[in-house]
Amino acid sequence: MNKFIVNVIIKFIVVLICGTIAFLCVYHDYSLYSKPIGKITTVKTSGEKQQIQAEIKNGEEKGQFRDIELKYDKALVYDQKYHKGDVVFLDSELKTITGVKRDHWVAAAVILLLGMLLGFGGRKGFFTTVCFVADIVIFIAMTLLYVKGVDILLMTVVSCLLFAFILLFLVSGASRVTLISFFVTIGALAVVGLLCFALIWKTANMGYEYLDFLPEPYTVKQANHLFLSQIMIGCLGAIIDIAVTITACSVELIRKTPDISTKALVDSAKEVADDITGTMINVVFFTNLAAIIPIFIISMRNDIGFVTVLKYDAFFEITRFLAGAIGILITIPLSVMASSMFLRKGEKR
Amino acid sequence: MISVLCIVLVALCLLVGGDRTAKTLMTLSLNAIVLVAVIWAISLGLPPMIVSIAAILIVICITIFYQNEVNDKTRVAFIAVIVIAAVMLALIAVFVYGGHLQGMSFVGENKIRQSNGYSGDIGVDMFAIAILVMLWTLVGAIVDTAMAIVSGVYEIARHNPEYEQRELILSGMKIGGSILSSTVNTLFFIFAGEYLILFINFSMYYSLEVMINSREFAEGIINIIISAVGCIAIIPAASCLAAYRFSKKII
Repeated sequence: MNKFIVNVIIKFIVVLICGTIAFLCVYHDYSLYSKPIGKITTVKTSGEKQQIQAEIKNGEEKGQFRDIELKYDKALVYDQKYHKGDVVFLDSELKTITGVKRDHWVAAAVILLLGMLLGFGGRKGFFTTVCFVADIVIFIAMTLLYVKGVDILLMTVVSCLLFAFILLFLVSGASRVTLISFFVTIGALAVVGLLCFALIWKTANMGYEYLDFLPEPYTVKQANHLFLSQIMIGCLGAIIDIAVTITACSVELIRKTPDISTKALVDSAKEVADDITGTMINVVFFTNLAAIIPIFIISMRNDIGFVTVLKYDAFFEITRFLAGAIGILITIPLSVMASSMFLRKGEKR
Repeated sequence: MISVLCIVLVALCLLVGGDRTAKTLMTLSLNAIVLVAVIWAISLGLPPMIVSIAAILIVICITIFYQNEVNDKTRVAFIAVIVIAAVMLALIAVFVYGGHLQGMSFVGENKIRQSNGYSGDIGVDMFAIAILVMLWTLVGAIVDTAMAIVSGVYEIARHNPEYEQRELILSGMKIGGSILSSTVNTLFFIFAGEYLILFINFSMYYSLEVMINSREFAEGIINIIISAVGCIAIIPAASCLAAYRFSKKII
């Protein structure tokens, strides 16, 4: 017990020290930026006005202090209210604040996650990190190629195969279960993809002007492809998870009782599915829909009806959630079918 | 389109799973009702922080107790989720406050902006709303992990009454480790889908420097990481609580 605790404490200290050093490096990366950066040293707030003194951190004026005056809205929808210690970007004349420097906050979050995964996740944590890095690399490659003019839907299909391959074979290792799960994942993804494909092409006006961040100008085809890619990537993680669980379970069942009837197999799969689908669908629900809360509130405070927002702004999030949930459910029968097909065929030979 | 997908979802729920998968439909509708109620309440001007915390408690109750019935296991999972959610709430508040993550977007031809007649003077604290969004995402993810660990530890304690607390904690951690990567990956891909268009927009029209310091990017990354960190943090919390609760009882 004592050795265990000492071990945890040593790990904790090592992770803490490494994390702090990495964080401080990003925090003091002022010289990497060409834009002037200031650190706010004093703030005087009166009403909705702020008087700010900032110390310039890079460039020729480094070390000088500048006074800045600004106004903000109490609700902070479009504006920022600054605090002492904030690091901000300034315009070239050093008179106004153009944005907040957030890179060290992003870095802090990344370091926190890496520390927890590598420090306490053990071997699994290491593999999860490796998968993460691989996924992100593929993801970046996708966006860069898109800018070069490659069709996004084509790239999404290819990279979904890659993602599934990396996740399944790297984490679980090559085995029969992994192989079957891989095919199930592709199958389920194809079903969801085709269903949404048909629905999107049948809908005359998708209202893409409400899809956040859509790069303009866009053609309807481009927008359709982008939206379909979003749906497929969003489903992928959940589908892989369910595919592995149900396939592993059915393979185990068939191996233990080779003469199991199809009905008994389906019933057992239902039993396992009951344990995981409920919470899984809820994860998909919250993760997809939480992001639309602010849009609802700001619209409704501006006297735009609930139904209008639901119909236009929330449409895309709701569709992504529904597609994800359908993906989870469709994976279950596919896993049972695939595992009984593969295994029984093998025995007949 | 949404109605067709809804019909497919309902049909699959009833066909594919057993009774409890069908129950998921009820849980989902209840959660959706809570979500709508929260939006109404906040837009009517009720204090967002209080409404959010109350709503999240209700949602946790629905997902844990209604979906899985009230028993020792769900009670332990409930406490674990509340503890971690409270700790993470503090962390979220630090990130949102320090990183200025509240407010609306500036990227792309966004419809919601001041020049389109959307007034910023809405009298609702967007700081609280930003916290609510992150907390909401987090809770959905940690409930899943907490339930898996608590039921796992419960089964182990039932089959091995001679196990001591420490052994139970270790097996809880082991269960957590085996589901960790799949949960984190599920989250990652949902966010990757959501932010795919944002990334493309940034790489087309903005520099890397603008991207990593932008509110949208920082909010997305920090949101997913907070959820993932919550999923990791709940593993020891749920293991310890479950071990404490179940080791003393010989079942």
